[in-house]
This record gives sequence, C-alpha cells and structure tokens, in this order.
Amino acid sequence: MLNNKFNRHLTAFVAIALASIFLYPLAEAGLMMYTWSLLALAVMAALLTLLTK
Amino acid sequence: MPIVASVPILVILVLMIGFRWGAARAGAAGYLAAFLIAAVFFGAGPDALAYAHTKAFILTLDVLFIIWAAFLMYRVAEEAGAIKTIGRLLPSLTRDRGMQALLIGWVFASFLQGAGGFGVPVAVTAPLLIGLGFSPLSAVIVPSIGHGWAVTFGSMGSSFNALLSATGLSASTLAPASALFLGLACVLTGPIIAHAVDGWAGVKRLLLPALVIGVVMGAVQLAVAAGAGLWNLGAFAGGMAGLAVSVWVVRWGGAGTGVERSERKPLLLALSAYIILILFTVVFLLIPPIKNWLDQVFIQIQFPETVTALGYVSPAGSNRPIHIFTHAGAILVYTSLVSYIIYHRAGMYLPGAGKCILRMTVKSMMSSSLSIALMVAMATMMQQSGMTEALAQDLADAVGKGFPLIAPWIGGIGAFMTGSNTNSNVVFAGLQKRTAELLAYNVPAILAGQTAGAALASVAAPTKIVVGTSTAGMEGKEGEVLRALLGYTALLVIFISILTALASFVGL
Repeated sequence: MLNNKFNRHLTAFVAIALASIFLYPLAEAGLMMYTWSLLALAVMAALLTLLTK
Repeated sequence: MPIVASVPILVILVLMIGFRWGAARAGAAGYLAAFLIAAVFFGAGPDALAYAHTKAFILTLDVLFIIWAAFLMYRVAEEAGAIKTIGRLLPSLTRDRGMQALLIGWVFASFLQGAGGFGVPVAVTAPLLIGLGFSPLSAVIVPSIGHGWAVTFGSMGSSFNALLSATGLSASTLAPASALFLGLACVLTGPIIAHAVDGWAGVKRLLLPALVIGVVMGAVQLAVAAGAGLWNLGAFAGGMAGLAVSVWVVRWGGAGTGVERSERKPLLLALSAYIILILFTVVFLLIPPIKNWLDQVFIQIQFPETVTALGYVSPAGSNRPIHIFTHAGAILVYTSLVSYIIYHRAGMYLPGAGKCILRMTVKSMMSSSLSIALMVAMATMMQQSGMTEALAQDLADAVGKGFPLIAPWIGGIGAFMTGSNTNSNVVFAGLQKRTAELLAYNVPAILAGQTAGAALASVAAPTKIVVGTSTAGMEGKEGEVLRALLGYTALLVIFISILTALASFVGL
C-alpha cells in the first residue's frame, strides 16, 4: 500500500492530523509518556514522507 | 544560536533549489530539523512541542479549507467546460495581438488566479496563446507575469488567510497595505506584458489601455479586500472587473469585434458559478443577522503558557477563531454544490462527472496539503521554541534600518523556493512580524512587503515554471523560461521594496 506516493502522503497526513488533535488533551493532562508517543508518530509521518519508493 | 535556528529554513531552501525535491519531502526534512533543534538546542519540552502541533493543525485546517474548496469549485466549472467557454470567447473580442496578450495573459489569467489558482492561470492560458500564434516562450512568460499580482488575494484569499493565521493579526489591519502594494504592482504589470510581447513599441501602443485596465483591477481588489472586508474575493473581483473593463476598452479603442449574440447564453452559463459565488459571499458575509447566526459555530482553543529549558516564554493565548459556516472555504463549498446542480441541469456534464470532480480534487490536493501541514508545523515549532525570536533578533541586528528594503526579498525567496505564496507566508510571516516589532517598523507595511514580494516572485518558482512548460510543449526548457522571467520578476520585487521602504520611513 505504501509503494504508492499518494497513499504514503495520505497516511502521513492522517497520522500528523490525528497526532496533532490528541496531543492537546494529553499535554493538558500532563501525560508526558503518551505525549512523546504521539510526537513520535508525527515524526514517523515526516519520515514516511521522505521515502521515495 | 541564530545559525542553528536557521537550519530548518536552509534545509528546505537547499533541498528544493539545489536537489529539486518536491515541497512535501523538503517540508518533511525541514520539519524533522525543526523538531530536533527545538528539542535539543532550544530546550523545548513535550508540552511546548505538543501545543505547537495542535496550533499548527488548526492553522493548517484554516488554510486547507480554502485551498481544497477553491480547487473543488474550479473542477466543477472546468468539468462543465465553463473555463474553456470563457477562454474561447475572449480572443474574439479583438484582433490586436498585444491586446490579446493583455486580455488572455493578464486579465483572464488574473481572473483564473482569483477563482482558482494552483498553476491554473498558466496551464489554461498558455495553450490559448499558442493557438493564437504566440511563441511558446511568450505563451508561458506572459500569463506567469500576468497573474502574479493576484496571487495573495487569489485562490479565494488562501495566501492572505495564511498571513492572518501565521501572525494572528486581523484582516482589517493587514489588508489595506497588502492590497495597495499589489494593486500598484498590477498597474505596472500591464506595461511589462506589453514589453514582453512587443518590446518598447508595444509599451507605447498599449500603455493607455494597460493603465486603464490595471488601475481598475488594482482599485477593485483594494476596494473589495480592504474597503468591503471581503479579502477572499479581492483578486477574483479585480479579475471580474478587468474582464468587464477590457470589453469596454477594446470597443473604445476601435479594435473590438464583440461577442456574437448566439454566444451570450453559453457565456452567461459559464460565468454562473462565479456570479453565485459573489451572491453567496454578499449574503453570508455582509448581511449581519445571517452572518451572526452562522458565526455561532467556531473552532477556538485556549493554549497555556509554555517555557523552554532556555527560559523562552511562549505566552498563553488562543488561535484566531475559525467560523465553520462563514469561512471562505464554506462559501466555496456552497457555491460548488449549487453550481454543480446548475451545470448538471444544463446538461454540461458527461456521465460520472461528479465522481471525477471529487477524485481529481482529492488526488491533486494531497501532496500540497501534506507539504503545507509539515511546513506549518515546522514554523509553529520554531515560534513556540524561541527559534523564530533568535532569528528575528539576528536579522534585526544584521540589516537594521535597511530591513524594509529586505523584507519583500525574504518573502520572494520563500515563494521561489516553495513555489507558493501561502508557504512563504507560513514560514516567514512570524519572523518578519517579530523583526519589524524589534526594529519598531510599521508591521502591516512589512507584512505587505512579505506577501507582495512572495506573490510576485512565486511565478518564477521552478515548480510553477514546470507547469507552464509542460502545457506549452517546452519540457526541458525551464531554464530559458526562468531567464526570461527573472528580469521582470526582479523589477516587480524591487518596486515592492521601494513601496515597503516608503511606507516604513515616510508613511504611505
């Protein structure tokens, strides 16, 4: 599925969107472990965007 | 520290210009660099990074709502053949080649930028100009220069919306100077196009009609964007006024041939989507009871103060509210739906057109949506962690009093490297605003220089040139087009630098 550029970009966009939405309540609640996990998801999405194949 | 803080921006610049990466990949690299530097060198904790991401997502939604909806509306009109109809009838107004270049490459290209954007002005008009006998090079550079002035308030104001979101300032603060600078650039654009087509002889012959059309388009954009507060319609209204005044100008000049009576109904039908857009905008934004009722639903989040390990404080505050039902994107969605029904009832669609419109919209917008999301996240992390502040301090120390002359070039370089006025505003508007504040310069004037410089330079971006060359059969000759465009583009950005300096030093 991720061989296709459109699918990669769609997956990355959705991952960043979901991470960004849920980061706010997690940071508000002070759940730093989960916050780091979602930040890692956003970083993974950026790394996925870097892939060319 | 300022050197480290500039790394994310330099990464994007080097990867896009030096290595010809696309905006999404380069944006991802810039994002990763910003994330790393914010966390390691600027001491941003998980809370600061988390809030930066949520802020960035809201800003991204605000910007993308317009971009997606504007492209949807363009597809609705394009699939029905409306754009082709308008483009086919325009050349029949005059036999004068110079006037044809002004009408198609400037006025019609500006109208297309106002209504759609996304490379459409050059992609649609370059083949039309070639069909009229213009050289492929002229066919690419004329509409490229022609639509630059309309970029900020074009695409339903998406670039201007990015400027508002990135700075947190109101439209009433930023629109007057931005619309004035771009309106004056529009007046200069007409003679430049005459020069590009026919040299100084063309300038001499077409100066008067070009000035009349340019003044009307620029003044209407200023009146609509700054006077009426309808910044999403600024360039669109300017383009519409340009189309109307051009008909009058060619008749007045004696070169007109007129549109045949049998063609009037198809033309009216083709323009119906745009007439509906004007009606909806007026109804939803200018009738207070309707606007106030719809404005009750909005997205606004309160963000707490964050402090980095280095002691940089990002103050508590909320984002600019996004009014879902009166947002420029929402109005475009309503217009798209009604226009689709009208074109469908008129039998202008082939079977399966609806699915095709939606598929093309999603497919075409995904890559640019991701690049905007990543670049916005990068810029927001830079602001939240104090990187923008460090860069602004350094820039203020380095350029000092000369900053107003430099500001449009910063915007221009941002647009040149990202191919987008919107992206340039997202990346640089915060930095420009903070530097202007540190140097006690007029912030709206500096930001007008930022967005106007970006708009005018965006037309020479390699990513945009590729669109032009591919539609004009000039693949592989991008360097030739760039060389032809650079002189005219530089002239326009120098003009904006002078205006920014005048507004900052003297007051305009």
